[in-house]
Amino acid sequence: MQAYHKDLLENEAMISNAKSLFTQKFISKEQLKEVTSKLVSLDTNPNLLVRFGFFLLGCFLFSSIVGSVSLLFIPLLDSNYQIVPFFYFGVGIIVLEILVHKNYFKHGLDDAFIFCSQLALYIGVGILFESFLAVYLTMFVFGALFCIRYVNALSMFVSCIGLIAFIFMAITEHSFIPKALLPFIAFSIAVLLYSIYLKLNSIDGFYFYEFAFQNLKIFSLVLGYFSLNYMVVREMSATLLNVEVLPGEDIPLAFVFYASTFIIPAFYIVYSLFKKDRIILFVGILTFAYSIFTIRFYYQLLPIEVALVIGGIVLFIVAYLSIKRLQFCETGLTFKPDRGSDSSLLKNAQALIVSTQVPNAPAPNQSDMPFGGGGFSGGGAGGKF
Amino acid sequence: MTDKSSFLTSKLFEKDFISKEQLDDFKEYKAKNIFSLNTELLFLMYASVLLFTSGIGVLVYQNIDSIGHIAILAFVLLLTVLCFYFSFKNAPTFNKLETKFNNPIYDYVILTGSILSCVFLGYIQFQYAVFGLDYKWVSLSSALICFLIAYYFDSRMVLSIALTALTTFIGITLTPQKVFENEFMSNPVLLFSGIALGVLLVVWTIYSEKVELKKHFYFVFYTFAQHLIGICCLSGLFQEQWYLFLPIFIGIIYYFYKLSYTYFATSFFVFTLLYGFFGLNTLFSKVFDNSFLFEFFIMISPFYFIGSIFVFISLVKKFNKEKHASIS
Repeated sequence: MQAYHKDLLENEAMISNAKSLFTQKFISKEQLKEVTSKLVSLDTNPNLLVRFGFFLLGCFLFSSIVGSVSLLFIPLLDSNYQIVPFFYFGVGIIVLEILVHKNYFKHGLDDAFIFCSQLALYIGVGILFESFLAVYLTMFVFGALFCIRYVNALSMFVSCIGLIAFIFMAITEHSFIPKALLPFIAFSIAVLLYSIYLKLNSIDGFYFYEFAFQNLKIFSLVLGYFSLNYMVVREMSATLLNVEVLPGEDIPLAFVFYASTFIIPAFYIVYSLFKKDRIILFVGILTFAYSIFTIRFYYQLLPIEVALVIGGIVLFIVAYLSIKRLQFCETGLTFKPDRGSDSSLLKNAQALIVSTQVPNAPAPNQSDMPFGGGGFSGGGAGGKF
Repeated sequence: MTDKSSFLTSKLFEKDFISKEQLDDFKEYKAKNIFSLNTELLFLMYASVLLFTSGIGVLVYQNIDSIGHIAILAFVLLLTVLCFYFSFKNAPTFNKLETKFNNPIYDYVILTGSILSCVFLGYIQFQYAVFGLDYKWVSLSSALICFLIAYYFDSRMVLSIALTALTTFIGITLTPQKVFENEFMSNPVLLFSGIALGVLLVVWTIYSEKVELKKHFYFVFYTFAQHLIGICCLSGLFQEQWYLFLPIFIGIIYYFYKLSYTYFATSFFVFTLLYGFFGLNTLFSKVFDNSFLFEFFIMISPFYFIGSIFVFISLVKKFNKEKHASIS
């Protein structure tokens, strides 16, 4: 089933592990060199930027193939337009198999063809059956197939999205189950997916699917949160069940959703610290931020700028206290940098992000700002803007 | 499953790549069960500073006539002074090499102070028009202040603010949002001043390298310069006077290609290739546009892309080989 030879995948995993051992200063450079030279491995690009560059090139190549084939066969296309996307899918698969045969793995080029040929297939199914249900089902099945055969982590997302969209569509359009149960069904699917993740992740021989499993985990966590998020439930019930929320009223079972909007992120964060799992921690922090957004969306207790100031202060205090608490811990949770981690990387990243954030000029583009009084409108805006 | 890295490390041991001591060393480290929140907490701190200052940035312009407003201004000023007071107190003495605060929190205190002083400068100009009617002098003075702070306290974040302010001074808003929103300029004079500023930054970085003044700032400087010049040149190639930009473009591509080998910085390398490739395609489209051969070029385009992919693969291979050979 797998397109790659198992030994090569194993060697690849061992080499990347040896690299991380080297950056953590467990092994010497000579040892790393010995590992990389003695183990036959796959052609990969560990650097994400390089991989993304090749991904772009691969997409250009695919679309140029599509373009020239279309030009050649224009007369044939008119009557058989339904077959065309499947033809492109076939072309994509052939090129992909050639790439795989040449041992390209996580290289960028193979990612591009995995992405493009799947896209062609789904468009083709959509045109042929004219039904979203069929498209989602294909996404679920073929996403999983691509994930297994080409050991591709992103296809796992495709498969998960296909699955959940299929179920959502089946319930809302074809009413297999009462629509009002949707949040709880979605939540139980999330729990189911997470337990599948736990099961798969516990199998020893599957470690090169690590990133695919990780995506499964992320998807199940995010799905679990959004299925019971107050804003999602309220907006969904407005569109699907025509529940009108009048002032002073709320959706049915509102307290459950209010509670889950905050309990789930809090649970993620605590659980992640307990399990020492960085991914769950990130999901927890991001979903918590979304919870605050959810509440602000319905209850504007404070104007946005005051909320920003207060939020900043609270966040600062939380971070400060955590740093103080963890500063000198030697084991378990700690503020000490990871072994071999590069502090220069973080500094450069923060430096580059800050330039996108800071209103360093007195923001002439904030002209829609509600100023207090009149009489000075000409004072600021220079003629340039 | 046993943890993946432990599993693979014992495999490496089985295959005799690492010694027993190294395996034990690794296991001992694993047993400590270390979970470092260093990056995460520093990032939270960073986010808190950005939230706080963007809130303040709006607040100072609101309710300008009221008493509360003056209170806010006084508060901002006091806070700025406090930030600098504590930072000066705890700062290591100035050194031309890289220095660090004992406590990383002060990096963020400095950041807060710098952003607040920019906000304050902007407000004073807004209310009292200290620099006349032209806003660009505010940008320039913010840039100067931030440069001083960045060099004194060795802060790359403040340096980045200074550089953004400097590009604002010459009239370019160099943020990714603007570039993606396609709001970029089509004014050749502006493009040339952008290029000039970029070249100036490169020259300054080379000079700092020579006199060993904060050498580690090179990454921020070069990143700014590369994108400033790269984007200006690419926009320039779309202009009517595109031939004026071509020599500069070729020169800068060559320069940064060499540079990526000096520092073995993958980001310089990749962006050089990307800018070069897009520039080349722009030129091709200039030549072949409206040509009767247009269909023919569509037909052979796959071969063009296959060819360029081969070129890129060999370039990346060469780069990686030299990079790995240089790891010490």
